[in-house]
Amino acid sequence: MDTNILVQAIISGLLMGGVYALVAVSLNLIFGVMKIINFAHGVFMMLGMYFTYWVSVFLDIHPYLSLLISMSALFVVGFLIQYGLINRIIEAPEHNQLLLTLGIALFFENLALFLWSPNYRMLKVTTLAGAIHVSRLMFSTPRMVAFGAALTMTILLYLFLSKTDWGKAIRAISQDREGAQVIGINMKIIYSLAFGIGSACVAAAGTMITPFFYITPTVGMVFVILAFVIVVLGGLGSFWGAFFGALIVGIAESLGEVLLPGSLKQVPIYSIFILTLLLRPKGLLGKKHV
Amino acid sequence: MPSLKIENLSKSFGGLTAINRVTFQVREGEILGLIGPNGSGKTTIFNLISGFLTPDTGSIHLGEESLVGLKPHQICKRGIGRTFQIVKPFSNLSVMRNVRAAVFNRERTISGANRQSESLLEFVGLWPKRNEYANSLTLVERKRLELARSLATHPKFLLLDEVMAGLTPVEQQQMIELVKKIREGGITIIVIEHTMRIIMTIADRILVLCFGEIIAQGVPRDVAQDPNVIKSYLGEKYSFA
Amino acid sequence: MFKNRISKILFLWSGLILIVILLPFVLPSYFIHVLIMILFYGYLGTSWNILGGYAGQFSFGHAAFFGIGAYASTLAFVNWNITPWIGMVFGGLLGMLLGLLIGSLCFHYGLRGPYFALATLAFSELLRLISLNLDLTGKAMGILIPLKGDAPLYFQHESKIFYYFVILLMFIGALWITRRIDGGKIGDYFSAIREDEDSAEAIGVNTFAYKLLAILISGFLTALGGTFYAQYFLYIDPAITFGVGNSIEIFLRPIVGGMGTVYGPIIGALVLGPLGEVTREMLGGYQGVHLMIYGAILVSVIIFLPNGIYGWFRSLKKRRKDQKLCHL
Repeated sequence: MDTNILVQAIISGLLMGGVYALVAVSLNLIFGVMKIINFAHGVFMMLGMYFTYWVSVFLDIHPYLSLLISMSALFVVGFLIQYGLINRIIEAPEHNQLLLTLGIALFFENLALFLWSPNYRMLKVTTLAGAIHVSRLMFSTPRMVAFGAALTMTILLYLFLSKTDWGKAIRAISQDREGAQVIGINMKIIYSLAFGIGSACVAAAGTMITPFFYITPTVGMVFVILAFVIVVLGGLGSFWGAFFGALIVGIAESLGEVLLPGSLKQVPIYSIFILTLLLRPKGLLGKKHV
Repeated sequence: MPSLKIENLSKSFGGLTAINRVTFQVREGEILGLIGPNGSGKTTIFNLISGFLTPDTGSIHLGEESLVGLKPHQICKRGIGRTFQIVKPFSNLSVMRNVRAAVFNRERTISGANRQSESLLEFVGLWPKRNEYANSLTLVERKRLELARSLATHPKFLLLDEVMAGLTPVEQQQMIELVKKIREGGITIIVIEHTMRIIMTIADRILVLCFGEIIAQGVPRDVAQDPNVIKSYLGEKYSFA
Repeated sequence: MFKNRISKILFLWSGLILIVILLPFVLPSYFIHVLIMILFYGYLGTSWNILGGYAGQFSFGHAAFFGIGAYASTLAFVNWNITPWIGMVFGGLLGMLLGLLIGSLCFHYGLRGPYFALATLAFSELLRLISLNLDLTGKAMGILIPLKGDAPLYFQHESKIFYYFVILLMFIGALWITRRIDGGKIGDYFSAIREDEDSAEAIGVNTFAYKLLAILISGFLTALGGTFYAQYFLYIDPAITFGVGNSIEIFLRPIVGGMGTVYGPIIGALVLGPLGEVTREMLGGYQGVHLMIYGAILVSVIIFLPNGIYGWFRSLKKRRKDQKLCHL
């Protein structure tokens, strides 16, 4: 096997992993705070992609310029969903929460299929086309830009959580629900805020990949399962676990693509997932006791 | 009846030693009290005996047979029953089915199981509530349910974990009577309790645990006067009657 | 008084049986199809319910069992001309083996709740990917079951009435198994595990063994359903059989109707079936548009009727009984 191909695969995987990191880290935020398994996460990414697509097509602007719009829109959607729906079943058994978010995902995915058909759409962005060549390796420009953007957003999220008052409130309530309420933190608002932020971030991830990724309603399910694999691997509740888990999974997927025929590239990912669940459910860096 | 022998039992979690070289024996037909400050390892000992935890070192013998490494349901089958500190009823099942599930441990037919459940519920005074859902019971009723459930498995030894906690003085008195009746039925009992008064009333012998080690053993009168015991309880929330 | 009540119940039951038997002969083909689908998903839901509702182990990957059954009988038929009736039993056994594999791994390592659910999802996805890439299973093209016309011995018939009675019998069989479980020791043990696994262990329930039993039964029955699907629609492919969408359709009925109850799944099927058909008629468009409605229903049920329709009905009855006791 040509080492060049392997290295190339690792690079591509790493670049995609950066985007996965944003998806995983925002899912982790939602899980860490509300302890809910959010199946709608992928669907929000999909909605972010479509938002970007339509804005970009109608206003004839660069998709990245619509970042703020797609993020704001999905923040509102996420906030309202948490506030209006998920908050009602905070005390319910875990699988009910899973089912609720699944229902939301089903609804939106099929609404999108109904409105926009399953046809793949693609955005052509001439300014981002091409690639940089270093010796025999190719760095695709749109993917690098996406990687950079995702990384930036991830770091911004981290800073938000660790430095701002809102971020601290979110972390407080994730550590001790009752204690935080006693000192005046409004649980419902904070939960909705966290969900909104998580949704906005994953929508941003969607926006970032529109220059090189096919846009179709079913893309959400693929990403959300991937996100769960990453978050479990990295450790539920751990920011950096999700981050590094994403890079690992991105590379694993890319290598799988090169080494295995057809769609079998996902087999190593699912296998890692099952092994992690069985042998080390805490994940690599997880602190929450499973 | 075989005796229950615990020797050099130790258990650590991470860096924290929960139980350190605990050794004691439970004599047939007695009520053994286990007291100690919070976090002294009382429930850990119960978890180790009943198979929910595996000891790092040491042995647990029921007669000649070692219990270490057995799963909880196997230990139950060998005649050791337990209740939990925070009651765990089968919430969405009726009181009757709660007990019946336990009765099936020893009984094979449905009619036989129903009959045994009836007598058990009568014994703990829950027969009138047999069709209620377990999650609609009051705390003392849930404790009695848990008692009925553990009795259903025909234990020779019964581990009661803070069965008096949260009960009013009247309810506690009733529970004490119930525990005494259980002992009269030939079951050896180990009780974990917080309240000194209850332990003094009910236990034949007392083990005092502190930071995972036994600091005193003996009849209630002697233990209450033991200087180590008094020292370990200084500053602790220590309720006398 | 006594005699009247018994004869009244007998009358109602025989009326119901008569209707159920005569219905397919009077209805047009399309409606028979709707009935078949209701019974089909009622059957699958009932099978899922044994593991998910009674034993409390929520499976997100039942498509794995479904697909194994579908492919087993189909491959046996297409390659060696073995009648799908035998292939069905063979598929069921494979489903059981799969259940043994998944169950032993997951339960040995103590996977519970959402972690178990996600693990089952991973297994079904793995099977989907494998079948997508194997020549044996026809890869993405899937497999077409050869038309044999009126061939009941080969699990095929031109008329839908045949399939109606097959699935009716299967459903009644699954119902009977559920009732047997529900009333006895196994049901008590399953429920105990569902409610509180530690407590169950403490009263002598071998939780590992009984959870395994649940997944074996459930896997077996679900695999049989896969064969029925293959023989009814005469086409299978990895997405239809092993896809997540299938797993969702399977557990949706018990959730809506009421998990852990005997009649929950069929109630769910009776509600969702016609609803799906009507939605498809009204909104047209693509195949899965009814899933949008299902999503909305799922959300509503979780929020307002967390115990499903049957559970809500039962709590109504209980409330009325309690009220009656008060108004002495």
